[in-house]
Amino acid sequence: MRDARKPRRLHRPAQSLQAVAPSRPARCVVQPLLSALLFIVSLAPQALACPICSSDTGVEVRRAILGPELWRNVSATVLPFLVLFAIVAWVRHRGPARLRPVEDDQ
Amino acid sequence: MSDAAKDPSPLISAGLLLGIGMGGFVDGIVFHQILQLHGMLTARHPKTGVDPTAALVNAEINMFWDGLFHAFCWGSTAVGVALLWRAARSTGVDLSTGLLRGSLLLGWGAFNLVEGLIDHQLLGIHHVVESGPHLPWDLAFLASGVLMILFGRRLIASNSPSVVGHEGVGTSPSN
Repeated sequence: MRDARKPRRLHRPAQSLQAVAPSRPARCVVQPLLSALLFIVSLAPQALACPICSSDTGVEVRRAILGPELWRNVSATVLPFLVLFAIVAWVRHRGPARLRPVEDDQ
Repeated sequence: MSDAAKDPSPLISAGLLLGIGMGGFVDGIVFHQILQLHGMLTARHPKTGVDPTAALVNAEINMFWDGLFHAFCWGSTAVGVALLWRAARSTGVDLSTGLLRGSLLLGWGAFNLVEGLIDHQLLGIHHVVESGPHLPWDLAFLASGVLMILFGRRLIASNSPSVVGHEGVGTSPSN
């Protein structure tokens, strides 16, 4: 009887949400930590240089990445992989004819 | 089913993709990140010999393109794992350890050779060692690729008696 009751309890939406939601002590720790981290980061905007940052350096990085050389750089990065994947595709699909078992030849 | 009748190509293609991915990760992790000898576009956006602000901007630009490079390495490895899983669940597939080792080496060597030829020699977007004379290091990188290809091919041929194609990755069983 106890085993039959367990699945019913798990499928009640309110109880499932309660099980997933963080407990109150966890929220008390995470929220102040995130706030402190955001405050520290906001004090040093010039140190932010990521491509999606709004600092001067970030804008320059974004401009260089998305500039006129974007597709040239994409091609340069992707080209070796395209060649390598073409080789693997050739081995996989054309290979079996080349790599057929010895028994078939005899 | 005898070993000779088993199909080696599913395991070879899985091993090739895993070798390409792992070779790319070795390049990216060891040369790009740990030793920082080069980045994806360090020939166009150098991190040395420029003022600190430009060095920071160029480092960030290289980091972006290194990320795209790593994404393709990850994709190759993921598809390789999927093909390996499919090969392991199939019947009539040669699953010898030597064949997998040879395929991994062949994939890694192919990565070094193809990436070295295209990025270092043809496009010149970066070199193995960016500062100073880079040709010896580039040639050593290419040579490592050729050696791994030869060794991997030999491993495949010696571990898969069913491989007969001269144009493929294997050799004649009489060898």
